[in-house]
Formats: sequence, C-alpha cells, structure tokens
Amino acid sequence: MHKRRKLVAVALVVALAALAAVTAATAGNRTSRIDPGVTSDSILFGDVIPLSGSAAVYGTIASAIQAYFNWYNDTHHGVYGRKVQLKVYDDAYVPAQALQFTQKLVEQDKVFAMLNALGTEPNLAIQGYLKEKGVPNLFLATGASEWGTNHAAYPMQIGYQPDYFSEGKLYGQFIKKKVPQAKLAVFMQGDSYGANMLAGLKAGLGSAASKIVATQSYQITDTDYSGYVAKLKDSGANIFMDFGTPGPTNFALIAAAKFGWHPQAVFINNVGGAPFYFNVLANRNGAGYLLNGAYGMIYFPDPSDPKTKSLPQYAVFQAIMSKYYPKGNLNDAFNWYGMSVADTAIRTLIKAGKNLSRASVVKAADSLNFKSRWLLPGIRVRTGPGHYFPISQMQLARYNGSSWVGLGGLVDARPGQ
Amino acid sequence: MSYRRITAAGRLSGVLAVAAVLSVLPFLMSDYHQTEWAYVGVYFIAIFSLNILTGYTGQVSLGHGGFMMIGGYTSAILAVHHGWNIITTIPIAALICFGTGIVIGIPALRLRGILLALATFALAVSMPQIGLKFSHFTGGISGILTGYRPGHWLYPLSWSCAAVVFVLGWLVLRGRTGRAFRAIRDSEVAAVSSGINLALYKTLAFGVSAAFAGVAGSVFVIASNYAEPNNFPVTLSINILVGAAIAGLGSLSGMLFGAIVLEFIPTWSQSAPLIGSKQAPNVIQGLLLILIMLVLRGGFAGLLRRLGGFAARSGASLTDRIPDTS
Repeated sequence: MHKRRKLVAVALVVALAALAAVTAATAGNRTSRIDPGVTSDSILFGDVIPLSGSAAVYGTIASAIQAYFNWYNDTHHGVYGRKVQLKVYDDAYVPAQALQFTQKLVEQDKVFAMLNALGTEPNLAIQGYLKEKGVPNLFLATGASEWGTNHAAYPMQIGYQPDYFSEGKLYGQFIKKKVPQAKLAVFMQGDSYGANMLAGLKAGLGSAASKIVATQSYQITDTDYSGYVAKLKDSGANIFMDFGTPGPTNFALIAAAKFGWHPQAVFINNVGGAPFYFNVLANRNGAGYLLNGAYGMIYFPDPSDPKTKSLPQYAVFQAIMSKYYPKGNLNDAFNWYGMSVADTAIRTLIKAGKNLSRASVVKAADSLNFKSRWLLPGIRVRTGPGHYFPISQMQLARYNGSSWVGLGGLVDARPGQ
Repeated sequence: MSYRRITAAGRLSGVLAVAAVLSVLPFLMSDYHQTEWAYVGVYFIAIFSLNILTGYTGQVSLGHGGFMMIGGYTSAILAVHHGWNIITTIPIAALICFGTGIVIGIPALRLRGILLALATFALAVSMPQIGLKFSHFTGGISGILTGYRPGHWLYPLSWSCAAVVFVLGWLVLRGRTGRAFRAIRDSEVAAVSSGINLALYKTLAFGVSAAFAGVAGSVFVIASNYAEPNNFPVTLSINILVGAAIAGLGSLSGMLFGAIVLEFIPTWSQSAPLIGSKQAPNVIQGLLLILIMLVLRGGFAGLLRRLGGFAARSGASLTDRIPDTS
C-alpha cells in the first residue's frame, strides 16, 4: 500500500513538473523589439469589465467595442493592415479579479494595451501593476478626476468620459450666473465620486460657494433617502442638486415629491440622468413635476431618443449592431458609448502611426484633437500637455419629460476656458 | 501500533512530496502562473480554515469570506494608516480574527445545522456593508490601496503562510483538541457524555478557523494590493464552502485540489469556447461543479483514498479516524 501511495505521489510530481515546464517554455517564447500584442496583421487590446454581478449592465460596452472593431476590420482592413481585437474578461466588478485578469491579459494573452477598463476601484487596483509593466491603460471608463489629474504619476493611463469635477463646476458656473438668489441643497453619494462633484460645484460657484445651505450624503448601503431629503427641504433651499447613481437619484426625487417640495430648479447629474430609469421610477411615483424642466449635462446622443434615430450616424450604429452584435439592445446608451470609445481607440492607433509601440500610442492619446460623430455635434476629443481629459465639453440640457434637450452651446470645463 | 506508524509515514511522505513540488514549482513557471498559484495558496488556507470548523467539528459556516475581510482590512489598516510592514500584520490579523471567531462562536453555540449556516451567512452579507459604513476607518467604497509590489515574493509568501497554517492546524487536529472536535462532529450527545466541554471546543474551533481565514484574507489583500468591500463578496464565502466540499470535508488530502479548482475555474470557464451569452461562464462554472460533485463524492480526498486503495481496506479517511490507542 505504501508503495502504491508513493507511486501516486511520484506521478503527481512528474505531471505537475511537466505541466509547469510546458507553460514555462511557451511563456518564454517572446518576440523581441516590437511591443507585445502587435503583429504585422493584428493589434490586441484587453478589457476587464463586469459581465456578471451588480454592475453587469456595463458589460455590453465591451461587446459594442468588439462589434465596432470587427466592422472596422472588415470595411477598412484594420489599421495599417492590422486587425484590431479586444480580449475581454469578466471581473464581476471585484477589484481583486480585475487585477488577476489584467495580469492574465498582460502576461498570458500579451495584450498591447488595456482599453475601457471599467470602474474607479478596479482601475485603482490595476494602476500600480500596469505602471510597473509599462502597459498603457487607455480610455478607462470612470469619471473620477484622478485619471486626468494624476497624469504625472501614471503617464500611461488616460480616462475618457467627462470627469465629475468638471460637471459639478459647470453647474456651479451656470447657477452663479443665472440664479442670483440661489440657495443650494446638495444630495450626493458619500464617496470620492460625490466628493468630486461637490468640489467641482464649489469651484464653479467660486465666491458664491456659501450659497450651498445644506449637504446630505447617502451611503451605498442606504435604502431609504427620505431622511436626507427632508433635511434638504427644511434648509429652505430653492435649488435641489441631485448627485447620485440612477437608483438613489430617482428615490430622492420621489421623496421630495412625497414631501411636496417645489424647488425653483432641480439639477440631476449625468450619472443619474438616464431617461430609462426616470420612466420606471420617478415618473411613475409622482415625481414627474420635478423632472420636467430639470437641468442636467449630456455629451453623447441617447439612442433611445427619437431625434437621435434620424441622425446619419444612427444608421451606421444600427448597421454595426445588426451585423456584429445582433443581441445588443439598440436603445441601450452603453452600446452607443462603446462605439464612441472604439472609434477613439482606432483614431488613436492611426495617429500613433505604422511603427506602433506602447510609447507611440500613449503619445498619440496625449495629443488627440478631433470631432467625434459619436458625441454631441461639436464636441472635440482633445488632450494635450497639462490636459488629460479627452472629453471635457458637455452641453447643459433640460429634461422635457421624455428626453434631454440641449440648452445653449457646448461648455468646456478645461482649465482656462 | 505498526499499522499506525505506516500510515503516519505514508502521510508524511505524501505531505513532503507535495511540499517539494510546491517549492520547485515557481522555478518552472512564468510570473503570471506564479501569481495564480499564490492565489491557490490563499484558497488553500481558506479551505483549511473552513475544514477545521465544518469538516472536523461539524459546524457549517457560510461566513468565512467575512473573516477573510476582517483579516485583510486589519493588514491594510495597519500597513497603510500605521506604517507597519505588511508582512508583520499577518499574525495580528490572525489574532484579531481569532477574537472575532470566539465572539461569533459564542452565540453560534445555540444554533445548529442550517440555522448556524444562516447566522454565519449574515456575517458574509454584513461585512462588506460595514466596510462601506465606517468609511473614515475603512476607506468606504474606495477601500485602502496597499500598493503594488513587483517581484517574485508573492508565491513564497502565500505558500509559507499556508505551510505554517497547515502545520499549526495539523497539530491542533491530531491531538486531544482534534479528537474533541471530531467527537462533537460525530455526535454532540456522545461527546458531552464522554466529558467533552461542548461550549469550549465549539468556540475554540470557531476561533482557530477564523484565525486561519484571517491569514487567508491578509495574504489575499497583499496579493491584490487592495482592501475593498467588493473584493469580499458574499459569493466568496459560498465559494470557500464549495471548495471545501470539492476537496472533501473532514480530510486534509484533497485541499490542494479544492484550492486549484477555486482559483482556475473562473478563468477556464471564461476561456471555454462559447457563442453569445455573457452569462455562459457562470453556467459552465456551475456545470463543472455539479460534474465534480457527481463523479467525486467525498471530494478529491475520496478520490485519493480510492486511488490509494486505502478505502477498500479500512473505510476510513487518510487522516482521521485513526485508532488513537497507542
């Protein structure tokens, strides 16, 4: 018996050693000179994004990017003959998983760069590792200001969407100019995102920052927001700033309606401004009067808006989706967002040139300047020395009961504008 | 007597062989595989910790992710807020979790079976929320970044901790305490009537188990360089129980396999060639688990028993139910 057990142990050792040797041998097979992930006919990006778990709704962005890449590869023969691909792993919005899959993408799949890695915390989890490995983290999907302001420490990473600070600042500037008698009550999420929005709002108000008469931050654990809203109403404020994710944003509006609060103006941040959620929550629970005429910020056309469907780029969107991502929902704004990220990535690759390297793609991403048809007309994706926020233009908008209608021209939160 | 000596020698040679393989392994692997196997070490510790409580003492826990979170946050807070070397925080994490385990073990004395499972499940559910609530201390949703440390230290760290935990746990299980644990598992009434202090040993099992889970959590945070509530979802607790079941409860020989399954199934299932559905990896994962449990009743430990031909002879597991009359 003893012998047989020994045999099993020896067999185990041999098997494991063989396995390890094989993997070590394949891992050692690297091409020199050119950066990983680039061959004469391909470019490989990696993406960690939740496809399952609490934030699974965002997962469709990756599929939309893949659809756009496939369409582009078929119609334009790739970028300088290189087909662009995106390898996606589901991190379930767990930062530890994001790091593990990023390590897999970098070391096993040998991606050229990360693209559209989603979420503030997952990106914080991977930034140290990516810096160490010298892998670019391009157009990551979070609105924290961190990605643009911390460029000196992490020069190979760059965000994409307008940052929360800028959005808050634009609201502040608008209110300072238009509502001299303003008294602001702010409802916000009690984390870095909420803090970013509030800091921006104060910066925009400038000398009028004292007009913020009440601030209430909710925790992600909260399920009832009426206590916060009651305090905000009691403060005597005439402007209600609603800075939350879709759920809390809507429930705060519903609570305000329940208390019969009629503020002079309501501001709803972009994160919480999805018409889909308005229709199923606030509108159905008596808060429609607060939504009508509410202010918000937009930066890309909403594909569910009937006006968007008549735009020429909507036909392209529809064609790409129907051929390359038929299961995707045409009304889902995240799919449109995916098109815009993919388009920006392609343009960046073109700008980086034929001799593509990690250094050249970062250089290109740091000096973008173009108009994207996937964003609101006139918005330029622009970066440059000292400015690492690709989209910093937004449009103030008012909600008409079914969709956001742009108000005035584009506004720019870029420093010095 | 001689029978016992042979099995002891056999067991020892098995453990030494596995230890030898694990020490050679990093020299044969790429950096990435070393990282993966460092996580295998973390899951190994977690499965062992649950095995002590559930496999050896018969107390089901669905809350070990909660203990891991306490251990992980202890390390992160000491290292980042108080400037400790993060390696030295591991024993502190174990101590704090030992205390927490005792505290939770005391009310758990009144609960059995499914009720105990539910009570511990509450720990798994509430811990991430606590991390969010006391944000001045835990960093809230943004958590505490401990910082990425490059180098080849992760694998040795993880497996050194696993070795220490394994030896300590084995020492506990082989002696008087382990006998008491097993007696409680097999029949509480019989255990009490043979003079075993039920309350003492049950809470002790909770404490030891929680302490080891704390070590797992601590190494987990060091490996993922981030203490953050989402790193310890409810599914982590469930996964540890699944891993322990795959390994084979009440036995030590299958734990490495349980840990390997926990680490690699999420990756393998995502690489499986599938068309369309984004939820497919979850389905594959579930199917694989069902398959493993169907084919391997008694987990990998049971398989090893059968392979070794040991089961046929005595019907006992490799490590427990050994005649203790020397």
